[in-house]
Amino acid sequence: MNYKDLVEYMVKSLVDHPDMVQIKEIEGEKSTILELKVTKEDIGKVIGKHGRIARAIRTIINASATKSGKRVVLEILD
Amino acid sequence: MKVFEIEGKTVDDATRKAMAELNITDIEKTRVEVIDQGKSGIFGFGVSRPAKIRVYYSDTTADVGDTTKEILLTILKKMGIEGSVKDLKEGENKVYIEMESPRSGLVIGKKGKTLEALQFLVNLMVNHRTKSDKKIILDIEQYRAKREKALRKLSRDIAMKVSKTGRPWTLEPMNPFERRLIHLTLQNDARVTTKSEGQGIYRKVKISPKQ
Repeated sequence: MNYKDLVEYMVKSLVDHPDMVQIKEIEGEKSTILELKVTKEDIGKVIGKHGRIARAIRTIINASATKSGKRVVLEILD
Repeated sequence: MKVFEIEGKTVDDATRKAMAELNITDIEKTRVEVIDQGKSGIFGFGVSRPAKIRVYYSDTTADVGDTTKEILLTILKKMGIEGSVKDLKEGENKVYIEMESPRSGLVIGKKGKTLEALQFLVNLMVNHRTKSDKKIILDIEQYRAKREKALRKLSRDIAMKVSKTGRPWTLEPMNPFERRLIHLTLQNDARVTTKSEGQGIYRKVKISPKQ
């Protein structure tokens, strides 16, 4: 399962500067960490009011991760 | 709806130019208003005046449904979930999509959580890309109709319980649409009153006996 690809597609469709989207995937034994970096102006577009967008993105990741039994964590860096 | 004005030798000429300029193939989808019929100089004499038309058109009607479908199917594919679009209806302000998947349970999630997240994100993505503000509603295997029925039954059952025991009952947190449904179901129930309590995503409906 390529979580990086999934997150990249969703985030790039939400922001104003898709070319500035960076995602680093850190693969662990039991969990995968995705570190997301966007421009300052775009950070609100991936977090949303009260973190609503970030929560929705995490929900989608978790749904696609249920099969593998692995934990996938999305971290938004600033 | 947008407005576009253009001049041409004749009304037909101006119309052709407008269609080319706006990339519109079907003239039926627009409304053309003639501002000036124009006047051609006879044999090159006299004063000629160009024809002028005004075209009213919508730049979003055509592709919002298609864009939605494309984005939705791409997300499902990247999620590793097989799925397809069974039905797509596009109206003036809404796009309704019904999906089909052998893993529909996964697409819906606990209490519809995943479907809600998917719908929320697809709305943002489509509106961001097409600059339209149509509301997109996603459904899968009549989940929404089934959930509505279940919520109506639940609210009636709880109302019965509250009126019997005389004690208020608070339901689990629900989204605005679901809370509204509970209020509507019980608004004419003489035994109980309903009220939403709490903040943000934790807002719950409380059903109390009528004093």
